[in-house]
Amino acid sequence: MNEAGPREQAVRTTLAAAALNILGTPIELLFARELPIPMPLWPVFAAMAVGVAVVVTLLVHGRQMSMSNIALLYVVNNTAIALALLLLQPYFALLGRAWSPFQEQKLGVLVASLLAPTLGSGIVAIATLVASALALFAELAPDDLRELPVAEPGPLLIFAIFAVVILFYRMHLLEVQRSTTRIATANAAAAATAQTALAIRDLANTPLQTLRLSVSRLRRDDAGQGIVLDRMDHAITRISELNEMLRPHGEEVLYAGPASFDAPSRLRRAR
Amino acid sequence: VGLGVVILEDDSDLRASLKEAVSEITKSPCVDVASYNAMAAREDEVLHTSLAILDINLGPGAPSGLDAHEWLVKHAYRGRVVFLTGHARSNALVASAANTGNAILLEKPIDFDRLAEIVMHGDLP
Repeated sequence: MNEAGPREQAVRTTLAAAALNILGTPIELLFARELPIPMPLWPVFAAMAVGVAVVVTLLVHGRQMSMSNIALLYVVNNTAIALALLLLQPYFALLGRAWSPFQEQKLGVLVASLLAPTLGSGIVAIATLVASALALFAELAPDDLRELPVAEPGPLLIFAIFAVVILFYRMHLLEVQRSTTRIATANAAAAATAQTALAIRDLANTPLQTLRLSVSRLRRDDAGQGIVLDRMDHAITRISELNEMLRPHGEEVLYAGPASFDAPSRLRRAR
Repeated sequence: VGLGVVILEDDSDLRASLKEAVSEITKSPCVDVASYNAMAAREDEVLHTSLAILDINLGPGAPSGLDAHEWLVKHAYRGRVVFLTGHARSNALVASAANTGNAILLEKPIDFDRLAEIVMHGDLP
Protein backbone atom coordinates (compact mmCIF):
# COMPACT_ATOMS: atom_id res chain seq x y z
CA MET A 1 0.00 0.00 0.00
CA ASN A 2 1.21 3.51 -0.76
CA GLU A 3 1.79 5.20 2.60
CA ALA A 4 2.01 8.75 1.18
CA GLY A 5 -0.74 11.16 2.18
CA PRO A 6 -3.17 12.63 -0.39
CA ARG A 7 -1.13 15.82 -0.75
CA GLU A 8 2.16 13.97 -1.29
CA GLN A 9 0.47 11.81 -3.92
CA ALA A 10 -0.99 14.90 -5.63
CA VAL A 11 2.42 16.63 -5.70
CA ARG A 12 4.03 13.49 -7.12
CA THR A 13 1.51 13.01 -9.94
CA THR A 14 1.50 16.73 -10.85
CA LEU A 15 5.31 16.66 -11.00
CA ALA A 16 5.04 13.66 -13.33
CA ALA A 17 2.56 15.53 -15.55
CA ALA A 18 4.87 18.58 -15.71
CA ALA A 19 7.86 16.35 -16.53
CA LEU A 20 5.86 14.76 -19.38
CA ASN A 21 5.12 18.26 -20.64
CA ILE A 22 8.82 19.23 -20.56
CA LEU A 23 9.96 16.03 -22.24
CA GLY A 24 6.97 15.36 -24.50
CA THR A 25 6.06 18.71 -26.04
CA PRO A 26 9.43 19.12 -27.85
CA ILE A 27 8.59 15.95 -29.82
CA GLU A 28 6.44 18.25 -31.98
CA LEU A 29 9.67 19.89 -33.18
CA LEU A 30 10.82 16.59 -34.71
CA PHE A 31 8.04 16.80 -37.26
CA ALA A 32 8.44 20.52 -38.06
CA ARG A 33 10.59 19.84 -41.14
CA GLU A 34 7.82 17.71 -42.69
CA LEU A 35 5.35 20.62 -42.73
CA PRO A 36 4.50 22.47 -45.99
CA ILE A 37 4.94 25.83 -44.24
CA PRO A 38 7.13 26.45 -41.16
CA MET A 39 5.32 26.38 -37.82
CA PRO A 40 6.15 28.79 -34.97
CA LEU A 41 8.37 27.25 -32.32
CA TRP A 42 7.48 29.50 -29.43
CA PRO A 43 4.30 27.60 -28.38
CA VAL A 44 6.49 24.53 -27.70
CA PHE A 45 8.94 26.50 -25.60
CA ALA A 46 6.14 28.38 -23.84
CA ALA A 47 4.48 25.07 -22.82
CA MET A 48 7.85 23.72 -21.65
CA ALA A 49 8.47 26.90 -19.65
CA VAL A 50 5.13 26.49 -17.90
CA GLY A 51 6.11 22.87 -17.15
CA VAL A 52 9.43 24.01 -15.66
CA ALA A 53 7.65 26.67 -13.58
CA VAL A 54 5.22 24.05 -12.25
CA VAL A 55 8.09 21.70 -11.33
CA VAL A 56 10.00 24.48 -9.54
CA THR A 57 6.89 25.69 -7.70
CA LEU A 58 6.08 22.17 -6.54
CA LEU A 59 9.63 21.40 -5.46
CA VAL A 60 9.88 24.64 -3.48
CA HIS A 61 6.36 24.99 -2.07
CA GLY A 62 4.71 21.60 -2.70
CA ARG A 63 4.74 20.53 0.96
CA GLN A 64 2.89 23.64 2.08
CA MET A 65 0.42 23.83 -0.80
CA SER A 66 -3.25 23.01 -0.46
CA MET A 67 -4.82 20.32 -2.63
CA SER A 68 -6.74 22.94 -4.58
CA ASN A 69 -3.55 24.86 -5.41
CA ILE A 70 -1.81 21.69 -6.54
CA ALA A 71 -4.84 20.89 -8.71
CA LEU A 72 -4.69 24.44 -10.11
CA LEU A 73 -1.02 23.94 -11.04
CA TYR A 74 -1.96 20.69 -12.75
CA VAL A 75 -4.66 22.48 -14.77
CA VAL A 76 -2.25 25.31 -15.72
CA ASN A 77 0.33 22.78 -16.96
CA ASN A 78 -2.30 20.90 -18.96
CA THR A 79 -3.78 24.11 -20.39
CA ALA A 80 -0.31 25.17 -21.59
CA ILE A 81 -0.06 21.90 -23.54
CA ALA A 82 -3.58 22.27 -24.94
CA LEU A 83 -2.86 25.86 -26.09
CA ALA A 84 0.38 24.79 -27.75
CA LEU A 85 -1.50 22.05 -29.60
CA LEU A 86 -4.21 24.54 -30.58
CA LEU A 87 -1.55 26.81 -32.09
CA LEU A 88 0.53 24.09 -33.77
CA GLN A 89 -1.99 21.60 -35.11
CA PRO A 90 -3.35 23.88 -37.88
CA TYR A 91 0.11 23.50 -39.47
CA PHE A 92 -0.07 19.72 -39.15
CA ALA A 93 -3.59 19.76 -40.61
CA LEU A 94 -2.04 21.07 -43.86
CA LEU A 95 -0.53 17.60 -44.29
CA GLY A 96 -4.05 16.38 -45.05
CA ARG A 97 -4.39 12.58 -45.06
CA ALA A 98 -0.71 12.24 -44.17
CA TRP A 99 -1.57 13.57 -40.70
CA SER A 100 -3.00 11.37 -37.95
CA PRO A 101 -5.03 13.98 -36.09
CA PHE A 102 -5.23 14.52 -32.37
CA GLN A 103 -2.86 11.74 -31.27
CA GLU A 104 -1.48 14.17 -28.66
CA GLN A 105 -4.96 14.87 -27.28
CA LYS A 106 -5.79 11.15 -27.15
CA LEU A 107 -2.60 10.44 -25.23
CA GLY A 108 -3.20 13.54 -23.09
CA VAL A 109 -6.68 12.54 -21.91
CA LEU A 110 -5.40 9.10 -20.87
CA VAL A 111 -2.47 10.68 -19.01
CA ALA A 112 -4.92 13.06 -17.31
CA SER A 113 -7.01 10.11 -16.14
CA LEU A 114 -3.92 8.57 -14.53
CA LEU A 115 -2.16 11.66 -13.14
CA ALA A 116 -4.79 14.32 -12.32
CA PRO A 117 -4.52 15.07 -8.59
CA THR A 118 -8.27 15.57 -8.13
CA LEU A 119 -11.45 14.59 -9.94
CA GLY A 120 -12.21 18.21 -10.85
CA SER A 121 -8.77 18.96 -12.27
CA GLY A 122 -8.89 15.70 -14.24
CA ILE A 123 -12.23 16.54 -15.82
CA VAL A 124 -11.08 20.09 -16.62
CA ALA A 125 -7.87 18.71 -18.19
CA ILE A 126 -9.74 16.20 -20.35
CA ALA A 127 -12.30 18.84 -21.39
CA THR A 128 -9.54 21.34 -22.25
CA LEU A 129 -7.72 18.85 -24.48
CA VAL A 130 -10.95 17.87 -26.26
CA ALA A 131 -11.86 21.56 -26.67
CA SER A 132 -8.46 22.28 -28.25
CA ALA A 133 -9.23 19.66 -30.91
CA LEU A 134 -12.81 20.82 -31.47
CA ALA A 135 -11.56 24.41 -31.80
CA LEU A 136 -9.32 23.27 -34.66
CA PHE A 137 -12.36 21.82 -36.40
CA ALA A 138 -14.13 25.13 -36.03
CA GLU A 139 -11.09 26.99 -37.31
CA LEU A 140 -10.35 24.92 -40.43
CA ALA A 141 -11.76 25.81 -43.85
CA PRO A 142 -14.26 23.29 -45.35
CA ASP A 143 -11.68 22.21 -47.96
CA ASP A 144 -9.09 21.45 -45.29
CA LEU A 145 -11.71 19.55 -43.24
CA ARG A 146 -12.45 17.31 -46.19
CA GLU A 147 -8.78 16.26 -46.18
CA LEU A 148 -8.96 14.97 -42.60
CA PRO A 149 -9.95 11.37 -41.73
CA VAL A 150 -13.75 11.26 -41.74
CA ALA A 151 -14.05 9.54 -38.34
CA GLU A 152 -12.57 12.44 -36.36
CA PRO A 153 -13.36 13.79 -33.82
CA GLY A 154 -15.34 10.63 -32.91
CA PRO A 155 -12.30 8.54 -31.83
CA LEU A 156 -11.04 11.43 -29.71
CA LEU A 157 -14.42 11.68 -27.94
CA ILE A 158 -14.36 7.92 -27.27
CA PHE A 159 -10.87 8.29 -25.77
CA ALA A 160 -12.20 11.15 -23.63
CA ILE A 161 -15.14 9.07 -22.36
CA PHE A 162 -12.82 6.19 -21.43
CA ALA A 163 -10.45 8.65 -19.75
CA VAL A 164 -13.29 10.03 -17.60
CA VAL A 165 -14.31 6.51 -16.58
CA ILE A 166 -10.70 5.62 -15.67
CA LEU A 167 -10.41 8.90 -13.77
CA PHE A 168 -13.53 8.16 -11.70
CA TYR A 169 -12.33 4.63 -10.99
CA ARG A 170 -8.86 5.85 -9.97
CA MET A 171 -10.36 8.45 -7.62
CA HIS A 172 -12.54 5.73 -6.07
CA LEU A 173 -9.48 3.52 -5.54
CA LEU A 174 -7.59 6.42 -3.96
CA GLU A 175 -10.49 7.00 -1.56
CA VAL A 176 -10.57 3.31 -0.62
CA GLN A 177 -6.82 3.41 -0.06
CA ARG A 178 -7.14 6.50 2.15
CA SER A 179 -9.96 4.90 4.16
CA THR A 180 -7.85 1.79 4.67
CA THR A 181 -4.94 3.91 5.87
CA ARG A 182 -7.24 5.83 8.24
CA ILE A 183 -8.59 2.57 9.70
CA ALA A 184 -5.10 1.13 10.09
CA THR A 185 -3.95 4.30 11.88
CA ALA A 186 -6.97 4.23 14.19
CA ASN A 187 -6.36 0.55 14.96
CA ALA A 188 -2.72 1.21 15.79
CA ALA A 189 -3.76 4.04 18.14
CA ALA A 190 -6.37 1.82 19.82
CA ALA A 191 -3.80 -0.96 20.26
CA ALA A 192 -1.32 1.49 21.82
CA THR A 193 -4.01 2.79 24.22
CA ALA A 194 -5.01 -0.77 25.08
CA GLN A 195 -1.44 -1.76 25.87
CA THR A 196 -0.94 1.33 28.02
CA ALA A 197 -4.15 0.58 29.95
CA LEU A 198 -3.05 -3.01 30.32
CA ALA A 199 0.35 -1.99 31.68
CA ILE A 200 -1.26 0.39 34.21
CA ARG A 201 -3.62 -2.31 35.44
CA ASP A 202 -0.84 -4.88 35.60
CA LEU A 203 1.28 -2.54 37.70
CA ALA A 204 -1.50 -1.32 39.96
CA ASN A 205 -3.37 -4.52 40.72
CA THR A 206 -0.55 -6.50 42.35
CA PRO A 207 0.06 -3.95 45.15
CA LEU A 208 -3.71 -3.57 45.51
CA GLN A 209 -4.00 -7.31 46.03
CA THR A 210 -1.27 -7.17 48.68
CA LEU A 211 -3.07 -4.32 50.45
CA ARG A 212 -6.44 -6.07 50.26
CA LEU A 213 -5.10 -9.26 51.86
CA SER A 214 -3.05 -7.30 54.41
CA VAL A 215 -6.08 -5.29 55.55
CA SER A 216 -8.08 -8.53 55.86
CA ARG A 217 -5.29 -9.97 57.92
CA LEU A 218 -5.24 -6.98 60.29
CA ARG A 219 -9.02 -7.18 60.67
CA ARG A 220 -8.84 -10.85 61.56
CA ASP A 221 -6.14 -10.08 64.12
CA ASP A 222 -8.55 -7.55 65.60
CA ALA A 223 -5.84 -4.97 66.08
CA GLY A 224 -8.40 -2.38 67.25
CA GLN A 225 -7.83 -0.16 64.25
CA GLY A 226 -11.23 -0.72 62.62
CA ILE A 227 -11.72 2.90 61.53
CA VAL A 228 -8.25 3.11 60.03
CA LEU A 229 -8.75 -0.20 58.23
CA ASP A 230 -12.11 1.02 56.89
CA ARG A 231 -10.37 4.04 55.42
CA MET A 232 -7.72 1.83 53.83
CA ASP A 233 -10.45 -0.42 52.42
CA HIS A 234 -12.21 2.60 50.93
CA ALA A 235 -8.95 3.79 49.38
CA ILE A 236 -8.31 0.34 47.89
CA THR A 237 -11.85 0.23 46.53
CA ARG A 238 -11.45 3.65 44.91
CA ILE A 239 -8.21 2.69 43.20
CA SER A 240 -9.83 -0.59 42.11
CA GLU A 241 -12.68 1.41 40.60
CA LEU A 242 -10.14 3.53 38.73
CA ASN A 243 -8.65 0.32 37.35
CA GLU A 244 -12.11 -0.83 36.32
CA MET A 245 -12.50 2.34 34.29
CA LEU A 246 -9.39 1.36 32.32
CA ARG A 247 -10.74 -2.11 31.58
CA PRO A 248 -12.68 -1.18 28.40
CA HIS A 249 -9.56 0.47 26.95
CA GLY A 250 -7.42 -2.56 27.69
CA GLU A 251 -9.92 -5.05 26.38
CA GLU A 252 -10.72 -3.24 23.15
CA VAL A 253 -7.82 -4.99 21.56
CA LEU A 254 -6.93 -8.60 22.20
CA TYR A 255 -3.16 -8.41 21.84
CA ALA A 256 -1.09 -11.40 20.88
CA GLY A 257 2.23 -10.50 22.54
CA PRO A 258 3.96 -12.51 25.26
CA ALA A 259 2.01 -13.05 28.46
CA SER A 260 5.03 -11.94 30.51
CA PHE A 261 5.87 -8.36 29.60
CA ASP A 262 7.68 -5.32 30.96
CA ALA A 263 4.85 -3.03 32.07
CA PRO A 264 7.06 -0.10 33.26
CA SER A 265 8.94 -0.05 29.92
CA ARG A 266 5.69 -0.12 28.03
CA LEU A 267 4.46 2.91 29.98
CA ARG A 268 7.72 4.77 29.44
CA ARG A 269 7.45 4.13 25.70
CA ALA A 270 3.89 5.49 25.71
CA ARG A 271 5.06 8.95 26.90
CA VAL B 1 -3.84 -34.95 46.21
CA GLY B 2 -4.57 -33.16 49.47
CA LEU B 3 -5.54 -29.60 50.32
CA GLY B 4 -2.11 -28.26 49.44
CA VAL B 5 -1.76 -25.12 47.40
CA VAL B 6 1.06 -23.89 45.20
CA ILE B 7 1.43 -20.14 44.68
CA LEU B 8 3.42 -18.82 41.73
CA GLU B 9 3.86 -15.05 42.10
CA ASP B 10 6.91 -12.94 41.28
CA ASP B 11 6.03 -10.04 43.61
CA SER B 12 7.53 -10.99 46.99
CA ASP B 13 5.07 -8.96 49.09
CA LEU B 14 2.03 -10.42 47.41
CA ARG B 15 3.53 -13.90 47.49
CA ALA B 16 4.02 -13.59 51.25
CA SER B 17 0.47 -12.22 51.74
CA LEU B 18 -1.06 -14.98 49.65
CA LYS B 19 0.98 -17.63 51.43
CA GLU B 20 -0.11 -16.30 54.80
CA ALA B 21 -3.78 -16.13 53.80
CA VAL B 22 -3.86 -19.56 52.13
CA SER B 23 -2.06 -21.19 55.05
CA GLU B 24 -4.62 -19.67 57.38
CA ILE B 25 -7.46 -21.01 55.26
CA THR B 26 -6.07 -24.54 54.76
CA LYS B 27 -4.36 -24.73 58.18
CA SER B 28 -1.36 -26.18 56.42
CA PRO B 29 1.76 -24.80 54.75
CA CYS B 30 1.75 -24.12 51.06
CA VAL B 31 4.35 -24.12 48.34
CA ASP B 32 5.28 -20.61 47.25
CA VAL B 33 7.55 -19.97 44.30
CA ALA B 34 8.64 -16.83 42.47
CA SER B 35 9.28 -18.22 39.01
CA TYR B 36 8.64 -21.01 36.56
CA ASN B 37 12.09 -22.47 37.19
CA ALA B 38 11.59 -22.42 40.94
CA MET B 39 8.29 -24.24 40.45
CA ALA B 40 9.87 -26.87 38.21
CA ALA B 41 12.65 -27.36 40.78
CA ARG B 42 10.05 -28.30 43.40
CA GLU B 43 8.23 -30.73 41.13
CA ASP B 44 7.38 -33.35 43.78
CA GLU B 45 5.82 -30.85 46.19
CA VAL B 46 4.01 -28.96 43.44
CA LEU B 47 2.44 -32.02 41.84
CA HIS B 48 1.02 -33.14 45.21
CA THR B 49 -1.01 -29.99 45.68
CA SER B 50 -4.69 -29.71 44.77
CA LEU B 51 -4.72 -26.04 43.73
CA ALA B 52 -2.27 -23.90 41.78
CA ILE B 53 -2.61 -20.10 41.99
CA LEU B 54 -0.63 -18.68 39.10
CA ASP B 55 0.29 -15.11 38.32
CA ILE B 56 0.57 -14.64 34.57
CA ASN B 57 3.06 -11.83 34.04
CA LEU B 58 6.24 -13.05 35.73
CA GLY B 59 8.49 -10.33 34.37
CA PRO B 60 9.91 -9.41 30.99
CA GLY B 61 11.45 -12.30 29.10
CA ALA B 62 10.62 -14.79 31.83
CA PRO B 63 8.37 -17.81 31.32
CA SER B 64 4.81 -16.79 32.17
CA GLY B 65 2.04 -18.31 34.23
CA LEU B 66 0.78 -19.82 30.98
CA ASP B 67 4.07 -21.68 30.61
CA ALA B 68 3.65 -22.86 34.18
CA HIS B 69 0.16 -24.09 33.36
CA GLU B 70 1.52 -25.96 30.35
CA TRP B 71 4.17 -27.52 32.59
CA LEU B 72 1.52 -28.64 35.05
CA VAL B 73 -0.59 -30.17 32.28
CA LYS B 74 2.45 -31.93 30.83
CA HIS B 75 3.20 -33.40 34.26
CA ALA B 76 -0.35 -34.71 34.65
CA TYR B 77 -1.24 -32.25 37.41
CA ARG B 78 -4.56 -33.35 38.90
CA GLY B 79 -5.40 -30.20 40.82
CA ARG B 80 -7.23 -27.09 39.80
CA VAL B 81 -5.63 -23.95 38.38
CA VAL B 82 -6.48 -20.33 39.12
CA PHE B 83 -4.85 -17.59 37.07
CA LEU B 84 -4.67 -14.56 39.35
CA THR B 85 -3.73 -11.72 37.05
CA GLY B 86 -3.63 -7.95 36.93
CA HIS B 87 -5.04 -7.67 33.45
CA ALA B 88 -7.49 -10.48 32.83
CA ARG B 89 -8.43 -11.45 29.30
CA SER B 90 -6.68 -8.84 27.18
CA ASN B 91 -4.02 -11.23 26.01
CA ALA B 92 -5.06 -13.77 23.39
CA LEU B 93 -3.08 -16.56 25.10
CA VAL B 94 -4.55 -15.73 28.52
CA ALA B 95 -8.08 -15.76 27.13
CA SER B 96 -7.40 -19.10 25.52
CA ALA B 97 -5.86 -20.63 28.69
CA ALA B 98 -8.82 -19.46 30.76
CA ASN B 99 -11.09 -21.56 28.59
CA THR B 100 -9.32 -24.81 29.41
CA GLY B 101 -11.22 -27.33 31.51
CA ASN B 102 -9.52 -27.12 34.89
CA ALA B 103 -8.64 -23.41 34.98
CA ILE B 104 -10.32 -20.14 35.84
CA LEU B 105 -9.14 -16.60 35.48
CA LEU B 106 -9.48 -14.10 38.33
CA GLU B 107 -8.50 -10.48 38.27
CA LYS B 108 -6.58 -8.91 41.15
CA PRO B 109 -7.54 -7.74 43.68
CA ILE B 110 -9.79 -10.39 45.24
CA ASP B 111 -10.69 -10.28 48.92
CA PHE B 112 -9.90 -12.84 51.57
CA ASP B 113 -13.39 -14.37 51.54
CA ARG B 114 -13.27 -14.94 47.79
CA LEU B 115 -9.84 -16.51 48.15
CA ALA B 116 -11.20 -18.78 50.90
CA GLU B 117 -14.10 -19.87 48.67
CA ILE B 118 -11.73 -20.77 45.88
CA VAL B 119 -9.31 -22.64 48.13
CA MET B 120 -11.96 -24.55 50.05
CA HIS B 121 -14.74 -25.09 47.55
CA GLY B 122 -13.03 -25.02 44.27
CA ASP B 123 -15.36 -22.60 42.52
CA LEU B 124 -14.16 -23.98 39.23
CA PRO B 125 -16.12 -25.04 36.19
